[in-house]
Amino acid sequence: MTVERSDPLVVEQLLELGGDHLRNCYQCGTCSVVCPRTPLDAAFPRKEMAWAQWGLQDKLVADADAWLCYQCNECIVACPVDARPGDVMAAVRNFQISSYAVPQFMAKVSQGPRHLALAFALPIVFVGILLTLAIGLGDGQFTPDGDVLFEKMVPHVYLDAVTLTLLAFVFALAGVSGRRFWRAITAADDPGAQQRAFWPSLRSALVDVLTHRDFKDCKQNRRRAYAHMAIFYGFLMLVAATTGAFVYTVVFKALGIHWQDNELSLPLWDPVKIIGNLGFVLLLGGGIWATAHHRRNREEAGGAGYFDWFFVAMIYLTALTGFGLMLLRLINVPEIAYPFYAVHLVFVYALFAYFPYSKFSHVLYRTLANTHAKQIGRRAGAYTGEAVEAPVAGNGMPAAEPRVPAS
Amino acid sequence: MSTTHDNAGDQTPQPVPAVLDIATPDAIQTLDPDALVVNRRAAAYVCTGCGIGECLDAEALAQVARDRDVPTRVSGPLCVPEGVRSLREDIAAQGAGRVAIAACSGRVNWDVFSPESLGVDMVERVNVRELVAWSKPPGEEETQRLAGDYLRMGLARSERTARPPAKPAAVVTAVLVVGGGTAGITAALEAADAGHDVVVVERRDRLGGWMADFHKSFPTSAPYDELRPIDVADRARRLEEHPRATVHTSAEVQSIEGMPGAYEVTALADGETVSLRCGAIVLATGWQALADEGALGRLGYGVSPDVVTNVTFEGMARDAKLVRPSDGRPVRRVAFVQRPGMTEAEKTFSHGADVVDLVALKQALYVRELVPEGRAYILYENLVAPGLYEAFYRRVQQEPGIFLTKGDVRAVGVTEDGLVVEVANTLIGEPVSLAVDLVVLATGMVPATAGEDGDTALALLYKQGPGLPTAKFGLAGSNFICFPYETQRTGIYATGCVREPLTAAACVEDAAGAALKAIQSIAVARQGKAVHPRSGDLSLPHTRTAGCTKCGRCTIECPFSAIELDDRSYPVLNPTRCRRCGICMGACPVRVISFEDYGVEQLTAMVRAIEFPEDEEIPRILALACENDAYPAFDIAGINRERIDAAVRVIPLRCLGSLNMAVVADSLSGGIDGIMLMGCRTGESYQCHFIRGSELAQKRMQNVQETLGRLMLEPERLTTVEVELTAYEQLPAIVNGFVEQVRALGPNPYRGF
Repeated sequence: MTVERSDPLVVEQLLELGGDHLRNCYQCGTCSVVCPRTPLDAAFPRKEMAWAQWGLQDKLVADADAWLCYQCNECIVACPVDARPGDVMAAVRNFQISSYAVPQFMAKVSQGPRHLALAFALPIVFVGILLTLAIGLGDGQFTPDGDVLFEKMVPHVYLDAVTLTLLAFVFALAGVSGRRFWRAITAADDPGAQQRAFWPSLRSALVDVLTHRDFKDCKQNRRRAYAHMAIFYGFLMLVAATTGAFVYTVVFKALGIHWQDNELSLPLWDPVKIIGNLGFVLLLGGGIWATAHHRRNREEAGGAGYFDWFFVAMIYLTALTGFGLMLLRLINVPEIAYPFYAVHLVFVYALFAYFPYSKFSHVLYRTLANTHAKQIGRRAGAYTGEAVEAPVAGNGMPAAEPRVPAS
Repeated sequence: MSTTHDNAGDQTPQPVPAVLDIATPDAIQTLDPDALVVNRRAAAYVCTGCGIGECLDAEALAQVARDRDVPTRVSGPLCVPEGVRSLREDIAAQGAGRVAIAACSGRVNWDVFSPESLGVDMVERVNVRELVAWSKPPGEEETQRLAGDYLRMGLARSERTARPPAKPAAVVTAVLVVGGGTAGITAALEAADAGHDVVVVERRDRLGGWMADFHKSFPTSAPYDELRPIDVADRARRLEEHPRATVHTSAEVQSIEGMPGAYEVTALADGETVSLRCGAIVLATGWQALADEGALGRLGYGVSPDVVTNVTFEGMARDAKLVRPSDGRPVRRVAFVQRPGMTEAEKTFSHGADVVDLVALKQALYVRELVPEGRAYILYENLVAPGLYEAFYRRVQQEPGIFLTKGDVRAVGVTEDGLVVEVANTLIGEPVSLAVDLVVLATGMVPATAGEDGDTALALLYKQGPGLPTAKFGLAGSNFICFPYETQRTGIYATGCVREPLTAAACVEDAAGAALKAIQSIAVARQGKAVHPRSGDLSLPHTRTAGCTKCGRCTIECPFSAIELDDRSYPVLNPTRCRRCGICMGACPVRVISFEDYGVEQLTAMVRAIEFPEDEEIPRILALACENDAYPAFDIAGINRERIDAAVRVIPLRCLGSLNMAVVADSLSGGIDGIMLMGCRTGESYQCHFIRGSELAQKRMQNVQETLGRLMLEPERLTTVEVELTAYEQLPAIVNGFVEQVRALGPNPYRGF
C-alpha cells in the first residue's frame, strides 16, 4: 500500500493558480469531452484536474500527457463552472519545467518579476566577460574607428568561444533535466507492455513537430498552429543564419575559401543574410499574428502569465535588437551601433542561458513527451467525434485497448 | 416559517380556554334534535350542459327518475349562476329535501351543488358527464342505458341514506409535545403563541436536544456562506418563560389514553408522576446517531479511536480540541466519509439523507477554522446540497484546503503514523490511499421511532399497541405525500427528525406545520368532524350490537386503532380517532358495521338498481373504485375523451378496504357478469390514504374466490387492479381488456334469476 502524497493546498500553491478556478471543478469531465487531443485511455485535462485537486504532486510532475495538450482552450470555453482546465494544464507544464530545473534555484529566473534583476544580471556578466576577453586579451576595441564592423569590437574567436562554451554548458544542464523528466514519465510505464523503439519514436515525434500535426488537432483555433509554425520556422532560419555565419568565419576560413570580406557583417544579398532576414520576417509576422489572435480571443486564450511572456519577450528582444543592429550597421552609426551590439548580446545570452528554465524548454519537454507517447502507443487526438465503443475497465474508466485511428 | 415569533409582540393572540365546550352558537344549531329530522321529499335534475345534451336523450333519462316517482326537470347548464338560481327556486317550490343532480362528477362543482348552497339536506351527484357523455359514443343505446343506470343507482343510494348528524364534543385544548429539541421547542412555541396551553416532556435534563451540543449551524440566509451560532438556547429560554408553557425535563411519558380532544396522559417527571390532559400530541423525539461498531469495522470504527462519527466530531469542534483521540496529537488532516454503505448492515448510512452531506460541508469548515494548516477531504458517493444550500456548497468548495470528491471508501487502515483511507473508484481512474489523522463517518440519523425503545416514547394504551406503526426506515408515517405530519394515530403529529432527517432550520419550519395540525385536530374534534383525508366528514361507523359476534376483526383491521373493545368485548369507537375510511365495515364478517351514508345496504341497493338488457350477450360489469385514485382516474380519462366500454358501471368507494365481500357475492349472484376492484398501490411505497385498504381488499379476495366456487362461477369474473390517479391513459386498456375477458366467458348464469 503506497500512500499518496496528497495536499490540495500545497499543489495549488505549486501551480500558482490561486485555487479559485481549480476549486470550482466538480469533476464532470466536460473538459475531456470537448478536448480534441485527449486520448481515450487516459483522458486529459480531467485527469490532471483531479490530480491537482487531490493534491497529488507526484502524479502531476510525472505527467507526460500535459505536453500532449496544445492549449486550444476548448475546455475553458466549455467548462460549466469556470475551472479553466486549460490553465491548469499550462500550470502543470510550468510546474514540471521548474521541478526538473538543474540547478534548482535557476528555476526562479523566469517565474516572476522579483527575479528580473537576477535574470539580466547573469547575461550582463557573460557579456562583460566576453568584452573583457575580447578587448583585454584580443584586439577588440570599445569604440572602433571607421565603418561599423562588429568584428572590430568582438573578434569572432572570442564570440564563438564564449557562446559555444555557454551553449554547451546550458545544453548539458538541459540534458540532465530532460533525463530526469524521461525517467519520471517512463517510471509509470507498464513493464509488460510492448513498446516501440526509441529512435523511430523520436523520428516520428520530430516529424510531427516539423509539421505541427498535433498542434493542428486544436481545430477551433488552428490559426494559432500556423502562427506558431511561422515563429518556429522563422526561429530555425535565424539559427541557420547564425550557423551559416559560423561556417563562413570558421569552416571557410579553415578551408581557405574567401567568400566575404567580413563574415560577421554580411551584405544583404548574401544567402545567409537572406535566410536570416526571411527568418526574422517570419518570426515577427507569426508573433504579431499569434499575439493579435490571443487578444482577439480573450475567452479562449489561456491565462498567459509572466512565465510565458518572459520567454516571448526574450525571443522578440533578441530578434528585434538583431534586426536593429543590422540597420544601424547599414546606415553606419558607430556611436549607437557598438553599445547596441552589447545590448543585443545580453538578450541573446538571456534567451539561451535560460533555455532549460524558461518556456523555451518546451522544445525539449514536448519532444520527449511526444516520443514517449509514440513509444507506448498513446494516441492523443485520436477521437474523431464518432461514437467509440471503448471497453470499460473495472474502475469505470475506459480501458486502454482499442482506439479509433484518426482519419 | 416561525413568523409568529417575530410578530408575537404586535398581535396578542387570543388565549384558548383550557376546555372548549360545545356551547357555541353553531354547535347549538347542529345539536338541535329537530335538525336530525331529514326532509326525504326527493327531486331530480338532468343537466344538458357540457355535451351531455348532445350525447344523451335527456328527456328519456329524466323519465328514469320519474318512473320512480321522483319529480324531474331537464335544464340547460345548472352550474352557471342562472342555473343555480332556477335550481334553488325549483327545489323550494317542490319543497324537496334530497335531490339528485345528473350532471358532472361529484369531484367538481362541489361547492355549487352542496346541500348548503341548494338549501337541502342531501345532494346525490350522478356523474353522467365524465363517466358517460365524455367517454362513450353519443346517441347509442348502450350509452343511454348507462346514464339511466347511473341515475337509478344514485336514486337508490339516496333513498337509503341518512344525513349524518353533527356530534360536537367538549375538547381539551392543551397540546402535549414529546421531545424538547429544536422541533419540539418550536412546535410548543407555535402552539403557545397561538393561544394554546402546551406541555413539553423532555427525556434529558435540559431542553435543546442535539443542537445544544453542537458547535455551529448551517447558514440559513443569503448569501449562505457563513456558519451561524447555535440559537436553540434562546428558543428554549423563551419557551421556559412562556406563560402558556409547562416544561418537564428529565421526564418521560408513562401512558397515553383517549383520543384527539381528550387524551389522558401520565408522565414521570423528576421521579414524580404527573397527570395531565391534552387535546393533541406533537411527537418530536428526534433521532439517534447510529454507528454500529460491528458493521463499520471495515471503516476502522471501533478499531481505531481516531475514526469517529460526525456527532463525536461536532463535540470535538465545540470544545475546540481537534486532537487525535488515540494519542492527543493535533489533527491536521481529516477525511469525511459520506455514505459509503455497501453491505446490508451499512445501509443505515442512508438514514442520513442530504443532512449529513451538509454536516460534512459544515464540519470541513470547522477544520479550517480550528487548525491553521488544516486539510479536509470530503469523500462521497454523491453529495447532495439541496436548494439554496448549493450556495453553501460552492462556498465550502472555494475554501482553501478543502477538497470534495467522489470515491468509494473501501477501507480505513491503521498505521503507526495515523490512518490510511483507501478510496476506490475515484475520478482519477485509480484507487488512492490517503494518509489522514482523523476519519469522520457520516453516520445515519435514525428516527427515534425505529429503535427498540421506539414504542415507549408515547406508551399508548391502544389496542393495537403502545407505539406508532412505522414505514420505510422506521419512520412514523402514513401517506407522507399527501399528509406530511400524519402518523397512523389521529391527533398525534410527528415533526422534525423523527419524521424525516432535517436540518435545524427545516425542523423549525416543520414544527410550525405540526403545531398547526395539532391545533386543527383539536378544532375538528370539537366539531365532530374527520380531520383528514375526508376532512369535514360527519359520518361515523355504527355497530349493530345485536348481530355482532365479538370477533374483534374491526379492532385489528382499523389502520388507526380507532376501535377498542368494551368490557363485554363489543367494539367501541373512539370517534375522534376515526378517519371514516370504512375499513371496519369491509372487515366485518357479519355486516353489522355501517355509516349513516355509506354501508353494505347502500352499495347493494346501487348494484340492484342496474337494469339488465334483454340481450344476454351485452355484459354488465362493476368497477368498484377507490375514490382517491381509481375514481379520479376515470374522471380524468373522461376529460381526455378516452373510450371506456359502456358495459362498466363505476361505483366509488371510500377505500377499497371498505368493501365488504358480501357486496361482491351479492352482485355476482344477482347476475353481474364481472367485477373489477380498483385500488391504489400497495407495498412499501403504498399510496393508500388509509395505509393498506388496497392490500386488505386483495387478501379478502381469497375468501371471495371460495364464494365463486360455491356459485360455480369462473374466477376470471373477478379481478383486482392497482390504479394510480395518473394512470388514466392506461385505464381504457385495463378496463376494456377486462370487459373482453368477461365477454369471452359468456353471460353470468345467474342473470335473470
